[in-house]
Amino acid sequence: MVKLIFIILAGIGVIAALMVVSLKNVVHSAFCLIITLFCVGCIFVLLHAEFLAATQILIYVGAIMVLVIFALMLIDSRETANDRRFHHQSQWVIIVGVILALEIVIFIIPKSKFIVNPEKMIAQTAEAGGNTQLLARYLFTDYLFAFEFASLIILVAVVAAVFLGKRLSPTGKRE
Amino acid sequence: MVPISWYLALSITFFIIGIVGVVIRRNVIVVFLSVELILNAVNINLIAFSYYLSSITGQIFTIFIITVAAAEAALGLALVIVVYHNKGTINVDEISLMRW
Repeated sequence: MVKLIFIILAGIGVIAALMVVSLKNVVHSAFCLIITLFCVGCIFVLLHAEFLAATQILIYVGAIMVLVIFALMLIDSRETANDRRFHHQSQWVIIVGVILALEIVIFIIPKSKFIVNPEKMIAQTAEAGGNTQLLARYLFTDYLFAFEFASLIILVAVVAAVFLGKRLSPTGKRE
Repeated sequence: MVPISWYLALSITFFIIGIVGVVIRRNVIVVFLSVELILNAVNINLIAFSYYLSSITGQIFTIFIITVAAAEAALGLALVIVVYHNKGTINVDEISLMRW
């Protein structure tokens, strides 16, 4: 049953991902990426990472993709009929990509041995009272410095984005 | 239970689709969307190993990847809009100011 759900989600996600890179209209690509990100969020639920599934949908679908679609509103990205969508020689890239993917999926992954031991994780989650509690316990103790540093990165990015978004005055200074 | 190799196969599929999208498309917004696809492939990998190896660290790192992706989105789209205002195009092969 879980395998069937996984196959359905993976199929929808891969088809939408292929449409992201192949569709002509950029807005359609953005909407297909939303479908892909939603499927990835559902796959996180299958992996018992409920907090990250919610984060995925809130941040990626709710924030990043809305930002992309707003940026598309400010840019005239319509391509004319004779405009090329792809680079020259892109067929070679596709051939190499397909060979690489098939090589890894068919030859490398089935021959590898993986340790499969999720019982400890299930016990830990039950002991902490849920996935979010377990995540918070580690995030605010062992990884506190990285957490604070991530907030600094966000701050720098926001300041830089506001600076870049300002119009240039005729003298060349940013207003 | 779904075997871990299925998750790895899905992850490598997303990764290759993302890399091919970065290389072949001319529109810089689609290149940006493909980068998001690559980051998601990595997230699937990290969370699959986090669950199957009983370690929460993969999920913690996924939070940081999502953070960096959000920062990258804000900064990248601001850059794209500035480049569009200055050059009037968002095709990556026409933006060649820094090419020697």
